[in-house]
Amino acid sequence: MTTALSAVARYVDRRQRFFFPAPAVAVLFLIIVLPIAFNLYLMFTKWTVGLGEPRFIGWDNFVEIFGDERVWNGVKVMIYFSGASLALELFFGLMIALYFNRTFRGSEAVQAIYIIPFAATPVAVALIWRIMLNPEIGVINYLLTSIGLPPGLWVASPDTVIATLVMVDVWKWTPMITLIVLAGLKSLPHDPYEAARIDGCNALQIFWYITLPLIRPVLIAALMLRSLDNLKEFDMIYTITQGGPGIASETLYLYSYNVSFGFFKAGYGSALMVIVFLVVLVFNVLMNRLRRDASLV
Amino acid sequence: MANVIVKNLVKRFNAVTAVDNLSLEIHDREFAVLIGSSGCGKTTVLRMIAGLEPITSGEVFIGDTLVNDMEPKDRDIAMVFQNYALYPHMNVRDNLGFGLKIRKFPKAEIDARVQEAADILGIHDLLERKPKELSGGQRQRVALGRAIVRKPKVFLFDEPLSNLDAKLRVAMRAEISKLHRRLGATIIYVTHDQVEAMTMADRIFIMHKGTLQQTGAPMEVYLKPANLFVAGFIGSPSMNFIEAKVIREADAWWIDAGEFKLRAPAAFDARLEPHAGRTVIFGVRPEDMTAHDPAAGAGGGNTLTARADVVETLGAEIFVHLTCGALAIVARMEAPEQPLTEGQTVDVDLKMLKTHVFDKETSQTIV
Amino acid sequence: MKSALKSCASALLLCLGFTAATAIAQIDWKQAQGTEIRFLMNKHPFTTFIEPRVAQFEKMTGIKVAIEAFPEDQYRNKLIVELNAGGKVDGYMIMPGQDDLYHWKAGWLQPLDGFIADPKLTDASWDPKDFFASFAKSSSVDGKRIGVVINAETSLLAYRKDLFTKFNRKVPVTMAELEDTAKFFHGKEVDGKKLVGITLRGKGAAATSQWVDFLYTFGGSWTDAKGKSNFASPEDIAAFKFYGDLLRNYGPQGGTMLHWAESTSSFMEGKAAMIYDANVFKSLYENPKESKVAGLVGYTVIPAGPKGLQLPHVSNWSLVIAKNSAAQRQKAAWLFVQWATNKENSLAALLAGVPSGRTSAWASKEYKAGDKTPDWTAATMKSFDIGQGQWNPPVINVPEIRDITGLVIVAAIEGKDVTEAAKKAAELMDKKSDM
Repeated sequence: MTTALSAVARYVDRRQRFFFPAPAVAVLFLIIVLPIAFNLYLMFTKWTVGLGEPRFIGWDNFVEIFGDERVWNGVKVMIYFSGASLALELFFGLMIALYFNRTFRGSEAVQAIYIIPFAATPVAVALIWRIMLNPEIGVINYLLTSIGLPPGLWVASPDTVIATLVMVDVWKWTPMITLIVLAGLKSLPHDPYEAARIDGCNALQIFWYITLPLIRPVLIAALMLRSLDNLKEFDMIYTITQGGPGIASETLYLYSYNVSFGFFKAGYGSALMVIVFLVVLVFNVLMNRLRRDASLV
Repeated sequence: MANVIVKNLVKRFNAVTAVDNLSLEIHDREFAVLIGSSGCGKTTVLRMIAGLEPITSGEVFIGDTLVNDMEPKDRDIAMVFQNYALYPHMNVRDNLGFGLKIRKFPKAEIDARVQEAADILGIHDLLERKPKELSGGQRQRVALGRAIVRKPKVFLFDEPLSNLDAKLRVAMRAEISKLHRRLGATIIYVTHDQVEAMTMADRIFIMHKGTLQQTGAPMEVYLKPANLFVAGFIGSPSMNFIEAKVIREADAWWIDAGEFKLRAPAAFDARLEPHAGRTVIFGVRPEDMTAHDPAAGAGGGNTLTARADVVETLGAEIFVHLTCGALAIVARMEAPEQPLTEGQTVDVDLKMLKTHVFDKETSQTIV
Repeated sequence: MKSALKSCASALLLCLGFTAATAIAQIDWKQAQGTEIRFLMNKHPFTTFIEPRVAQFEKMTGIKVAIEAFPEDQYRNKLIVELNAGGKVDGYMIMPGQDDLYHWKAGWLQPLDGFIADPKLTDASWDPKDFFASFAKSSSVDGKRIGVVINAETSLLAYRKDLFTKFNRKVPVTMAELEDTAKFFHGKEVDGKKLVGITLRGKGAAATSQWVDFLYTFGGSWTDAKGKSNFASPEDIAAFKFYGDLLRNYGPQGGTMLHWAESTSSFMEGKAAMIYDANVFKSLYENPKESKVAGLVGYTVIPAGPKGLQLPHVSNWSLVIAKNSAAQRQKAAWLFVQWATNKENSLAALLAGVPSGRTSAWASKEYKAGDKTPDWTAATMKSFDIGQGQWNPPVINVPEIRDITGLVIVAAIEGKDVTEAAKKAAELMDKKSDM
């Protein structure tokens, strides 16, 4: 008995590098590799959850995606929403970071208050916005009309819904960009600024020729980080509009969620998810290349 | 080109006075070196001249123009920084041409000037590189080049060589001197390295604790230091200071340090007389001491006997660390044929005409 | 008055029938003694009502009942997962109007006709004829009875009695009158507040639940005789158009974002003269703590369409028995379903606020004694009588087709080309429908 046990112990001892990571590898396999593999399998099938087994249909899902108007609508909405929100977040994030990148009375308090939207729970924040934006009982229209301005339809009109969602997204996430850019600004070398002042730059030229190029890698990193979430923005849009009115704010990601978990069409939904994944991937590969160029300074 | 005049300049950082009522005038085309130990305010003065540091009070003129309220960019100056301060995102060519581009020079003119600067500094091969692909010496050349292309009224150098290794420093020193002659520019050069000051300067401005101690040509401040600080600061190794009494004996003035007595040359008489019987600081440079020449015999009144504690051999020369009672003295002499052994007692002659006597209370030079 | 008398009489008759039946035949309630059964339930008011009573049933039958209840979203997911995995489930709750085809095609539903017809298994007092016809029909698939109603709902037109009296308006009985009434009230200032004529759900798929009443009432249908989408038919388009125009012209701002919560709160704030939504929201309107219009609301059935049709939908939660369950456990499960839906429990449930699917419960004097809104009761019972059990598209992938339908509703509310949108939706529905 003891010899058998010690034989096992010896066996394990010699193969520690396989045995000790085994639990972690198994868990990773179960929670990451397996679902992804299953998803990759599902995208070639037709399967409504609960009804029968997944049926292999080859590339049919992708053919359907190509002809699906809501996919194109989703792409359009995604480009509009993400393009506008990322651009504005980057712009305001940078501007506000520049403003905070100096000490003034109470700057710490102002900064602490400023990052509250970023720190708040996305769904809770979105719910509050949803109520505030309600054209009939929302506080925003109440405030507008009480100072004599015309009320808006906000998310209730297909013409303004995306702009409104962009506004909420910018409000929520600009602080994050600001924090990242601020950290970048604080780490910039001091000397080139003085050199530029002597070389003849005014404040605007210093920003344009010195700060902006130096901070560019940080900006791109912030953009990448933000875009990972933004391109798959879900909580906020789903909570406020569920993609409505109609499908006016239904991003590709939201549509793929609806297909998978609203319509239970797992096969088609998986194929859509893969498309979303590819979009995010391509965007980030491009950004990464930009960043590598920029960091070659 | 232009002269630079600083009048009653004061800079206070909160409670600390960094520059205290400083006035100086730098002539047109002069190579002026501001020297002092760190914290003496020399860099602050330079930054105030550049306009990078607000002036607490006083006036700065560049070529007759009061520039107190001018932006750095309007002062027509160029500056070379200790850390080079190159634009990390631009290649060398753009670094050189940036100041001209901002000032809207025509492209052809920029190219010509960059070319010219590259010729002068021999950095042709580096034009397309980014700063981080350059060595320290190369970066400093680029920083120089950036100043040169501007053809400013005044060049400001802020310890430009302190980040380079010793060998490069020697080479760059010569190069900067050459540049100065070639450009005929007014240069204000801040350093803590007296060798740089001595080798390059037309005039040296020695600062201590925010005030100007002495101004003069290198040899002038070396030979005739105005006070104890200057005497100690200029020269390497530093001048030996020995507390001593001025006494009258045998028709001559003597410097009595207790452990030894030295006869002052007759040329000192008039100056020493008012200090008869008082304690003064006697100063002698290490290089003004030689091994005792037995042929001269004793009784010259310029010989002291001490024990050689440490002997540092530099080849042609040696530094000898001597102890004479409680006194420590460093001598710099030709290497003797018979090497000195540590612990040996030696006789040392002083070139009494080159020695100095300072007032102990005021630190001012007596002789 | 006359109808009240009639109801009284029928109630009396029913009571007599009930006592007579119990006297005649009593099945053997102990026949499945010792069996253990497991029911998955939505945390619905009915579940809350029945759970404390289960002990009685266990005592009477010797059957052990395990009820596992979850909040609705979680319940739906858990149910699908368990059924899909062939877990040990003997019975559960579904909304047949939404889920029956899906569950039927998946093979999860046990037809109940055999149990009901067997006099040894079904007590005569259970009286299947006592259920409103619409619910019996809606709990059937392919002619097979698959469930027993435990919670019955419909939609009603609720209106502000006070305003109708003040402005001397008649309660609308036709769609034309409805539009006219909405138009009349729209923009009227009452107590410094601007009224809207009517409020409705407008949020895409969510709006189909009430829009479907207009569809049926306008003579439209989900599909034609061949099972193809009927959206492009003149009747369907008329229903889309009428609903959209009504909400756009006489409804609150931002109609396309109105779910029931927004719509009802608008009405409860006193901002709307009328609302068409689920009848159970009466409890919201009449709650003085939440509602500014409590006690001021009148209720009526959906106004008649251009061809005189009046077809509100009825919806219900039903108890069903799992096909996978073993015969003995199915028998025990049926006894439990039968007991849970008997006349006594149905009446008690109604008195506890869970709307029953049994005529006798609504007609009982116990219920009538405590009824503060008899016009609501009358309208609800009429709706139950005339209602349509099929309130969702007759397909398996209901959510997807509802979503497609919602797109047309949104287009109609936004005043876009409805014919065009309906045609496109019809094509899409035919392409995407799983039958």
